[in-house]
Amino acid sequence: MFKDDYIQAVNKRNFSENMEEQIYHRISEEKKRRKRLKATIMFSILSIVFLFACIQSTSFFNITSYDKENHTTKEYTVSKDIYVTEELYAGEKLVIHVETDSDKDRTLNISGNMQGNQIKYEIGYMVDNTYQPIDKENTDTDLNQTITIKKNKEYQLCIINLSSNSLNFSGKISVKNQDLVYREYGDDSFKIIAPSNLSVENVSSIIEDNLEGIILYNCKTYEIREIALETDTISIDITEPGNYMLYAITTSGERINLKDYIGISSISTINGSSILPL
Amino acid sequence: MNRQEQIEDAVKKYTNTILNVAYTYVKNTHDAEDITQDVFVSLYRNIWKLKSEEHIKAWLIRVTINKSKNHLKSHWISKRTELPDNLSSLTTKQQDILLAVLSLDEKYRIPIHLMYYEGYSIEEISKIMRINPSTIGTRLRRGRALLKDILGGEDSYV
Repeated sequence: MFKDDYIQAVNKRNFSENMEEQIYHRISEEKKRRKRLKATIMFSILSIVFLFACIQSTSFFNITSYDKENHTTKEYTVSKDIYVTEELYAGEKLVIHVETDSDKDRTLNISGNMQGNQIKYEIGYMVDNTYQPIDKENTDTDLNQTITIKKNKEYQLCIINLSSNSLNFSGKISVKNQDLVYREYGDDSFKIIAPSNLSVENVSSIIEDNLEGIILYNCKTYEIREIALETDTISIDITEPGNYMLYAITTSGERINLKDYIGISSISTINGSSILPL
Repeated sequence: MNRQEQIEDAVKKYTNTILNVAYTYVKNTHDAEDITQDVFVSLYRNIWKLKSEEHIKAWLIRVTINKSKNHLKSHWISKRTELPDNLSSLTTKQQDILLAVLSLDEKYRIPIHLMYYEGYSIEEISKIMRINPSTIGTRLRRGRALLKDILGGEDSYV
């Protein structure tokens, strides 16, 4: 019968005698390959875990040492002017919260100095939960920065001690309405070199619009002084030499520079006239 | 029986089956041996999926057919000139029968091999090859008719 003859024919066909051996050899190679693959995968996973653990532990130990030495962040809140004197430990941060009750854009100014060995600090600010560095690796002892504070936004000024030593900061932080602050001295300013009395007469004839106020602005210290106007004459004593601007602000928001109308008389007897128009 | 024992058991029991199915498909001893090794490597990778011994045998044959198909599709194989295997150990009649089966188209020779050599029924062949039973029946009928033409002889021989 065909079936029997076919089975006999197939059974007589010759294949390699060590076929089983060859199969086991291939399987053992596959085992080794899989072991290598598993080892590679495990190594990769362990590397990632180790890396992650390193990052975590670094942060943890940093935080621990920070807490141990009581290096907490030092925080202040400023609405107009504050004077701050603080020792910042290595890695420590000084945070100045700016009050957000203004519906106008304002200017935040920080001026002061940093003392210590190997001075290195960063200045920046947080707005809308985003940190914006201003000066990343500052090594100057004098510190003077101004940033614009947009209305209705929450700002935090930050000074971070990047040095491995303690640094001492002392300075003034002030917030001013932007329309009253002029950072460039420019042609609108004048220089006082000795204690003087400034006067402007017939103010009503100079300012046609309704007068909102008279502002004396110290260009160096950013100090703003509102001058009371009780008569038609402005009279201001300036004891501190420096660059100044004198403005009248009208109710319509117009700013009128009064430099050209200023009369000057010395308070002291030294050096006579003490005004130098710039 | 653990997995290692299951594999060893399968190698002992089914190496010959796999070699012959592969040979029937690719018609070359060395290729059939390579395919058989590949099939058992696949078994090692997939042993955990297989439920029973019967499943293992059917699975091995199905994998052998698939690997053989892929083997013949490969560019290198399709361009290769076949060297005839040494059939000197067979009688003239056995050589004729073997060559007659191998001369059939693969769609006839695999069901014929599974039925006459492995003893599978149409239903079982249909499950292994994942082809409709009636199609398998038709292929077997046509395959047998072709074998009769090739081999001649009595009508009841095939």
